[in-house]
Amino acid sequence: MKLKNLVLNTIGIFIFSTIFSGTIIFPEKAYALSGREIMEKVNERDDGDRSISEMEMILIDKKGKKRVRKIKTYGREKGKDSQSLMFFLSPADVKNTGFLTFDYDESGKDDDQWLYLPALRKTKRIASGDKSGSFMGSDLNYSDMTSPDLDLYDYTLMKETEVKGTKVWQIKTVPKTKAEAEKSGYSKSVVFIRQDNFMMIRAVRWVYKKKRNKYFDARKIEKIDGIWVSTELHVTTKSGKKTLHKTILKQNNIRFNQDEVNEDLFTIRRLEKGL
Amino acid sequence: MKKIIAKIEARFEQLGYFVFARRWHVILAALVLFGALASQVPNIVIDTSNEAFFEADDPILTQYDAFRDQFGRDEVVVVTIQPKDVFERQFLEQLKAFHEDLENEVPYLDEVISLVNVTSIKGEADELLVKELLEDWPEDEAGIAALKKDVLSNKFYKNLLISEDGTFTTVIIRSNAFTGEDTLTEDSEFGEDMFEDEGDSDSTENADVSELGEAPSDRISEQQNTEFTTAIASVVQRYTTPEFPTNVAGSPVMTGVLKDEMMRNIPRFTLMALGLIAILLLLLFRTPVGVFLPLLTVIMSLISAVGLMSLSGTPFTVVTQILPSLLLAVGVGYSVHLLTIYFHHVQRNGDKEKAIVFALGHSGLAIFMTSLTTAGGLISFVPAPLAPVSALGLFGAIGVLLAVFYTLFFVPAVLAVLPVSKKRIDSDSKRSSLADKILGGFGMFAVNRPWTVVLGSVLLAFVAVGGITQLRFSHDVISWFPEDNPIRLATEVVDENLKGATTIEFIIDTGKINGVKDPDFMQRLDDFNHLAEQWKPAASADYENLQVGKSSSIADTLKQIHQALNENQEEFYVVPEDRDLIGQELILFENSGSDDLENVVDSQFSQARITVKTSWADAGAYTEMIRQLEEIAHELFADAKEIIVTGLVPLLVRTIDLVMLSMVISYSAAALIITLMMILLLTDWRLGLWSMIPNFLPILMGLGLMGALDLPLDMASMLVGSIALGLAVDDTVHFLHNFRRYFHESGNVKEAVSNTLQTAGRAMLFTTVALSIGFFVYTQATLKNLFSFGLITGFTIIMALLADLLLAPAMMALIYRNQDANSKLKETL
Repeated sequence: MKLKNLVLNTIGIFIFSTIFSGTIIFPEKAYALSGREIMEKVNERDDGDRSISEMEMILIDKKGKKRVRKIKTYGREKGKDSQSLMFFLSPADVKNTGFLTFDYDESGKDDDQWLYLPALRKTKRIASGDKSGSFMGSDLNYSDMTSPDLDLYDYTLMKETEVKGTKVWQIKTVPKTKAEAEKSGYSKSVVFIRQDNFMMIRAVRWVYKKKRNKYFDARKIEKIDGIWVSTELHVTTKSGKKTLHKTILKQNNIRFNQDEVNEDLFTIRRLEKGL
Repeated sequence: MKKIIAKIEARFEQLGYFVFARRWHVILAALVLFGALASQVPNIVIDTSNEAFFEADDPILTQYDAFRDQFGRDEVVVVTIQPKDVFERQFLEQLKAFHEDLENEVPYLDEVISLVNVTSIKGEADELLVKELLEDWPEDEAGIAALKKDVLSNKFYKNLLISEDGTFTTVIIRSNAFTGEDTLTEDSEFGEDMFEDEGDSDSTENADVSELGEAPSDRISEQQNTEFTTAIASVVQRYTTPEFPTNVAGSPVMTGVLKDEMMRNIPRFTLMALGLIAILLLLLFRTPVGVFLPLLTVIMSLISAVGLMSLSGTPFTVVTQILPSLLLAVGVGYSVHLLTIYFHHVQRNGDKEKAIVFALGHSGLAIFMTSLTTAGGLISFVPAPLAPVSALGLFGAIGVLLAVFYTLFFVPAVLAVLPVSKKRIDSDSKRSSLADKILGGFGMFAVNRPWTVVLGSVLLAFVAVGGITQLRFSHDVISWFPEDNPIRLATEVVDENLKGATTIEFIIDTGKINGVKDPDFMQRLDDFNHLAEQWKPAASADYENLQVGKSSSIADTLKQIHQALNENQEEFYVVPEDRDLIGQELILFENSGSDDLENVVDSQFSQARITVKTSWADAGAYTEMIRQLEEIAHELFADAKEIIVTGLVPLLVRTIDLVMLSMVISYSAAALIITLMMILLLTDWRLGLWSMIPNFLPILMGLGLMGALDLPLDMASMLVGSIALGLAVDDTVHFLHNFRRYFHESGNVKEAVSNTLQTAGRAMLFTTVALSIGFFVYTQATLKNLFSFGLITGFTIIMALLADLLLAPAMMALIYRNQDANSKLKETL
């Protein structure tokens, strides 16, 4: 009898201490979720489907001079991939210029993008595996507009903190390979995820191979049709403390589950029709 | 007048009593002053940048800063590589590794551009490719052949990244124009302030392109530029092999090399001058005190002056680097005069106090007067618009006054403290009597044949003027380096094979938002490029090799896009006529990820930049080119709000203008100041004016020699006139001061001249030798502009001595011919 108790107790202690020591030995703190897990939830977050919006892009140079562009945007999820169609509304010389983009989830598969120039009445396919390129000349990269492949990054939960009164997780994300850093355009980021809705509301990114940083700040977020949307995003590129350039991205009149947003919309034929 | 002089001399004697009585206090005070200034010396800065030549508020400089604030630094480092075959896999792989190492290791880097990452815009059937040229590595020989064809047919790459014959390729390395701190780390505090707006600007008007966004203090410093070029040099060295032969050119490198040369020169020449002067002093005084005290005095005044420079934030530049040798040579004379008389007296009477008093009484005034004239000559530089020249004038004058201060206070105090030297100063040695004989011989010849001397001088003056007409102004940093210097050779390689790397920048401000996108304006930008590239110098010009290598602007980028969108067909390499199309093509380009547009246009598309590339030449050669290109620009862009010409070349041209202006101002100022001083010192305005002839003639001869030897008149050699004037006049002062005294006693010109030369003559000879040594030392310089400065100034000083040994006595003989009849004149002396 005594021996059996002894053995059971020993096993119990062994199991207990393994579990217990695990939380001490692992480098991450004993939070409920790990950095990676949080980012998974961010990716999984429903950011809406079959959307239409009028995007307003304000570009501000270091002297404070502004340029404004208005773009009508349609978006659709196709399984794990996503599709978008954009038409410039203004300025006048680029009205009706259109971009059709297929963003593939599959690792290593490049995006497909087509551009329609009304003045030439031609559609050109744009080949670019490079997501480090700027989106429409703004401070955002293409990589900022799409979800990252989580397997290509190391995530470290740094701490819990607050942004404007709401609790957030502060997570460090670092690309695992130089190739990914080059491709995304960033060598490192610190992102701030809201604990209540898993939205990334702030980020600081280190630009790859340049002594610059980008500061992302979701100034306005709204719940529309049950979906949390960032309706005003400020992105500032700085060198040290000096602002080099800034973009304000506003999503006006965004609505989801629109009937007209279907498969036929995301075709070259529709692209060439214009607005 | 004599009374006033006697009074002043009496004051100097009183100074002698004071110093003797309070010798330890005086020594302490002098050492405290010295210590305070010397402590600042380690902070001294060396600045060899082109910007250092300008005052901070010079419009050319502020315009240049505004330009760089908008478009980045225009000065680049160009590394040329001439392998056996550029389009060969192994070389391309080396190039890529080289490029990447540069990106990783060079600090303050803005960008590295080479065939590896230059923007390639190509269209194929349905597809448009905007990417870095070697983003897709060529897989096989066919790929390489295609690459070669693309590169050689690309008009944009030609003479920028690849030579016309395809054998040279370049890597262009650009630093930041302005550097800021970079303190953000992952552990930083990401507070609200980081994400706040800096203050909204609602203005949509265009700012003047000459408005400054950066403070000049953020401009990349000498130190940082050196780190930049040194890092490049070390990467280059690692990769250079016979298969990867390199040349490194570009003005940032030039600035760095110049700084290295200076840092080597300054201590070298200072020590050389010190050594030679020490030897001279030993020969003269034959006692350690006679060597030690004068050297100590000049070293103290030099270090004090440098300390003041450091305190005021004034940097050492290519001009101020002559200050040490100048002060050494000049300052030594003062203590020599004092010590000569002191030793003479103390040997005879053995009483230190009396000797000090006597020495100060007899030579104090003359020493002080000569320091004033020298300082006067240097002060004449202060109003010069060339900043380093102005600094040299100010700190040179301060140094001279410090030297005289130390001589009149510190030296007597030390003498009072030291034991009396047992050694006799042999004033009757063979050597000195030989010197006296020669000096006397000159003087007597002049007095006996005054008209011969005067006519001979007039003749020499004419000859000199002939030489002066050959003089040419110059500012050509490259020519300062010896012919085999790597930077000089590299620049020649770049100029020959890539048609140059020196640029003139035009900014055309349309005054309207999106004004640049107007098809007509774009076409005119393109027209400008064609016209500029056709520019040739006039047939008679000195610089037939000068040419415009390339002119480029946003029009070129637009043409490339337009061609690519039309299946790469050659005939579409033109500016589109449709305004909307231009807007759309530019949006396309902005979307491609390339930030090339930042460099050629502002964000509002209201200001376009045109870069005109040319080979290196003397700054004066560009004047005509700039003028004609400006004419073309004003004709083509008559409706522009503003046209600005800036960049390195205009900076150089402006420098040469400032050299000329500085010369005119400082020579006039020196002539005026010193003439006035001579009038005051001699208390007779006629005599004062006459006395300037033996002072001006040597300057004329010096400049004449420069012209005859085809030595250029640049910012170093231009200093000759004012410096030499200030120094040459010392001899005249000593001569006339003593002549006047002896003439008053004897009433006989011959006797007076003879006595003058016997006493003051030896000191005049010594100071002339010391000074010419101080300047001939520069003929050993590796920098050629210093060579001509040293040679001519030394020559001029020797001529000044001869003028005072011949012309001055001759003039006295003629002026005081009827001395007995002219008793009034006698009384004024």
